[in-house]
Amino acid sequence: MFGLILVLLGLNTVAQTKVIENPNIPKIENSISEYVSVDTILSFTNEVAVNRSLKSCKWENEIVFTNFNTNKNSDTIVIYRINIVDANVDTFYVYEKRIRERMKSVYSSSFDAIAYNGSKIVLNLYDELYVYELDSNHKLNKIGKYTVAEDFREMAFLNDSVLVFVQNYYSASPQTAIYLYDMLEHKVINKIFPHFNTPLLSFFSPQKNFDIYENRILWANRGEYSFLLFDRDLKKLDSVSVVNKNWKQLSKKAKRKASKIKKTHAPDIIYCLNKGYNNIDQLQFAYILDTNHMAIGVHRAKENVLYIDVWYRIGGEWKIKHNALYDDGFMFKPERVIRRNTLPLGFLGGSKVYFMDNKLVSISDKAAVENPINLSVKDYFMAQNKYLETNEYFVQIFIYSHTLTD
Amino acid sequence: MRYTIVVAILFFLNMGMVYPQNHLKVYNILGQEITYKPDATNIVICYNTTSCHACMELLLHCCIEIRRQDTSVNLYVLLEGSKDIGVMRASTTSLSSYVPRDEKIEVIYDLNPIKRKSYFSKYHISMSPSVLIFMDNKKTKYISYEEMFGKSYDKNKINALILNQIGY
Repeated sequence: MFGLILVLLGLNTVAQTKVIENPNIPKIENSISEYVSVDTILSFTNEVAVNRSLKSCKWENEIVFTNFNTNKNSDTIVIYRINIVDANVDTFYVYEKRIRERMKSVYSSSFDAIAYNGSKIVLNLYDELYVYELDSNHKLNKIGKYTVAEDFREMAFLNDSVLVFVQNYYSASPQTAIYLYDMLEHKVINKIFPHFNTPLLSFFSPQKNFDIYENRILWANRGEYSFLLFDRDLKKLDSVSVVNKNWKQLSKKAKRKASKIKKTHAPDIIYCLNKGYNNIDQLQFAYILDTNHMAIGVHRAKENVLYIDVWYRIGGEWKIKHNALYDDGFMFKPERVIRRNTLPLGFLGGSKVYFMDNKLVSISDKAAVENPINLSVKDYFMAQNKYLETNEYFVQIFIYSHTLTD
Repeated sequence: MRYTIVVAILFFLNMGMVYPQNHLKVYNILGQEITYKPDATNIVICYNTTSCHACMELLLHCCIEIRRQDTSVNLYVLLEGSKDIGVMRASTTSLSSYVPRDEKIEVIYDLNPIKRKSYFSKYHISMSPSVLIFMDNKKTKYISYEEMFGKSYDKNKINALILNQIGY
């Protein structure tokens, strides 16, 4: 363990010596563009997301999402399934009587989460699970509705029969939890309460501190650079913590001030922390790329830039493979033309991202241009503004190929 | 002395250019001024995307009830203006989830701050939802988020606060 820390300290020293002179002009050798390229862009112009109504999940080579919300005209839920190898889209419809009324009764405008395991789709609303199964005619049939006692924010299938519920929210009790829920018995079969060092930050998005890949569960912190890996029985496999004296944390004064506010008054707490929030370093997302690779997204307040570290596991230790890759995104000149390998990755802007083998999928609910490829940055923004004068943002999916693990 | 007179003249000329703050100025998303009834009582809910969800539902419900009881009351939702049309569009979409299907509520934007302070700036609106009431006698009243939701989420309290300001 001590050795690992020493290695990480060493790595960190390397990272610290890499001075970013001007984050607005990223050096191309440090750009994520070297490793990713867009293959396909799918636009769903009739899907307008309302208050983060877009809920998605992955399973093997498929992405499933629904954008059902209370603004829809009927109680028919539309669910999309995308095969990321051939970009084929299947659309499923399922009628759920008075579901919009139910959503409003629990002060929600959409489902809270979705999970898929190749044959079953589970929708979560408040304390309910709506479970559907795909039949051989490609139709969704309702299996049942189940109430769960556990409070959680995210869920995903661990395997065919086990759902993972994840809680990480300041005003929840407990604030953090990972539950294993047996879909056959409809009960929790295991649970742990992992440490999360700055629960107050759970009010701020983007946040992605949990991921699942082949029976492995990743749990990352946010106010410090550390992450844990658990196996299918929630036993700790690995623990990595990067020590950095210059890492800026939320001040004790801010924490004390916010802790005096009633936990359920989220807007008041957000307002209280808003000023200090921009001055802290954060681990903003964590993804498992495959059994031996991980991507960690870090926001450094000083440079005001988000960058990605790619980690790999060798000889039982985690080491950095690619250090501080950053998305040059739209940080370039207005006349520069957007190409397949210079399209910004959505997750730096808060969209949802999934890694699957050599593919990377980014889902945006803030799209206004169907095809940005070969447009100049200036033309892109002009097209976006023109569209938004009379239309609303729509859902768009980018399928990239990546070589981050090669 | 001569300069003082010139400055004074310029000051008064400039005053003529400034819109009276007590008149509600209403703009659409493209920054075009739209007409409203200046002689009526206009209730304006100030909203942004960080507004408390339950508070906004409750406040909107109260204001719709008040409008039902007094048809001379106009109800608007004011969104923070931005140079980025996308920001305003996202706020508009977010707002739509609160508005009941059978109710029509005009959405207006806090734009054109060149000749006057924006409402969000003038009333120091950092926490929302809050309420601005433009009375037919040209008086403007402001009810802050803290006044309405600081200690409780009480529908009767909010109702009474707004009705009291209108003069019921």
